[in-house]
Amino acid sequence: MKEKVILLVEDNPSDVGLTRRALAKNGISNRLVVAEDGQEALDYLFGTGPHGDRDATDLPVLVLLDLKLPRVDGLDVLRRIRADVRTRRVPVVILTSSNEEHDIDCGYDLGSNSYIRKPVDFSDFVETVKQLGLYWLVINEPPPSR
Amino acid sequence: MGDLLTSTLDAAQWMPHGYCLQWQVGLLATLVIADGVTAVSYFSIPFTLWYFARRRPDVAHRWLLVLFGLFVMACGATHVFDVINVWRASYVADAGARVLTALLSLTTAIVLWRIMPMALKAPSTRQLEASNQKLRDSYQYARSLIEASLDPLVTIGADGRILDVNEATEQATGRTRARLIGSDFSDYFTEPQRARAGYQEAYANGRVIDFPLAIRHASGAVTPVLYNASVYRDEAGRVAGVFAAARDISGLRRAEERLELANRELEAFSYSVAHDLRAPLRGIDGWSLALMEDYREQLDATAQGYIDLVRAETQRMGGLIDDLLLLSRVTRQELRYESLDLSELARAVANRLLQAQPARQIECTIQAGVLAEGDARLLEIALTNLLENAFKFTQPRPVARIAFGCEETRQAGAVRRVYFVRDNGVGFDMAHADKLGDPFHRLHKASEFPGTGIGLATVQRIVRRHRGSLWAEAVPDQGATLYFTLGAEA
Repeated sequence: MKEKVILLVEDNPSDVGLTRRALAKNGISNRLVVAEDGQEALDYLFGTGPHGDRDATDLPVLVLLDLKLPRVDGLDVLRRIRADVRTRRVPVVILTSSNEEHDIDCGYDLGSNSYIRKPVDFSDFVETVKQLGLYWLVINEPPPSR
Repeated sequence: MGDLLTSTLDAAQWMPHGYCLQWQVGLLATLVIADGVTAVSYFSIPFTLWYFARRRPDVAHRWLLVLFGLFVMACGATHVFDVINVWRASYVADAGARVLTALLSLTTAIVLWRIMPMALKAPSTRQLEASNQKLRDSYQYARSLIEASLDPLVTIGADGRILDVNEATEQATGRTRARLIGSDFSDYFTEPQRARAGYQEAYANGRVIDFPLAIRHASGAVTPVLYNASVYRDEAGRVAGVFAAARDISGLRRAEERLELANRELEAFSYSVAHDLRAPLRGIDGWSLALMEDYREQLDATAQGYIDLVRAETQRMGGLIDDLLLLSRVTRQELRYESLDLSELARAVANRLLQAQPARQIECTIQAGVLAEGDARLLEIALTNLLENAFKFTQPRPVARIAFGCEETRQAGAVRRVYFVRDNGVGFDMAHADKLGDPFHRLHKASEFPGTGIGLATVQRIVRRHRGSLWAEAVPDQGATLYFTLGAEA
């Protein structure tokens, strides 16, 4: 059985730490792969660049995507994921600070499965991650792996 | 009687006039020549009148000319008899001619008196000249007004051809008057089809207002304009054509572009604030909580209290950022007008707030069927802020009373709708009411009632963007009513 990896696309180490902590607090033990910018996320997903030796058919069970990223931004990453037949079915949850209407509209237009605004209150964030994990890792039926 | 009749008919009884003058050749010749010339002159006058009447068919009262002609002819005839009577005593026929002349003279004299008022009214040449001058002046005045207009002015006939232009039109199109007049007006716009649509709209509805088009100058330069046109009519009331004015709005466009740019910058700024300012706050909150959770044993009560304070301040800052973002959003967000049931909006907001505070006793009265025209998203934000305030400031009351409704007043026949949110909360001193809509200005101590002071500023902006106003009436410790209007009351 393949490992159920969660891909976290996030450039802020503090946020990465907090997400790790929130996952751990909720007993979500999936391996967390962190991509610090959009390009790295795409390299991981498509097995290119530094991830050239990776089996690209082994897709993460969930992508947590921040929008404001260095190099390739979050919406572009989403566009590329949805444009490629290999990755188009991967569940992508936008997890970001912004609740700008434009971002939300674009996120959904580009095929995001969900849009979540990170709360400032860490306790709320832990609760959010709990719901998120419960829904996407337990309740939701993932696309069949190839 | 019978004798008189026969004697008058028998001309042979009288001597010719020459005998009276004892056949003095000089005197007779003078009389005969003078009478002859007079008669010929008289006879020529009707021909002159006839000639005049033929050449001037517009002259009114032509029967008067006929009457004059006859009268002059009759006068001429009497002079002919004066000549004949020198040699032949045709006094009877002469008398007849003189009676006829008398009748015609009398008729003419009477008729002249009868037409005197009309004749007096008829303008003299000098008067006509003066009124012509006046007309020329007024034409010159109207013309110079048209020419003085900075807006290109054009009249267009029913077939879409230009009838008249002013100087501004020549300048805007880069073509001469001679070239413009008679040509199709739509040729000078970047979108001839749209220009024709605007013209047809003016023709169909009598007018068209602020129809956006762009004029193309002969040099290729394009000027954005707002096209305003209305039909003009001839004396019979038939539409004779369209009078159109095009207002150059390049300045306005440039200002709009600058505004657009400023808005885009503001948007980028807000975006950055939304993303970058909140992220560190999340870190401060999360890691101070981690400290609390992971090192609880090593921290005494004071240290834990400090961490609580750090977290509380972080939350406050988060709230402040959110409120500021909302304030900036309600300023730049485009308005989408629709018909709204404000009662429904208010009820939804109130229900949300009631659910959040189940322990409190709150009587919330929402007047049904309060309608308005406005932007649903913005007005929901406004109602949320107003009702949140009402909920907040009634906290000390054992039973909070909160009402939303609308008061309609008639002013000069127009209905003015004033919406209100009323509470029986702590109120405030009206002396500070003018500071109500200032961002960050608070009328209560943060320790009593938490808040950022941006809520009412946001409401103020929303109301202003709907061309309305916001004001309050309050009594300290008795409650407050926040009033607002939407749109300019017609």
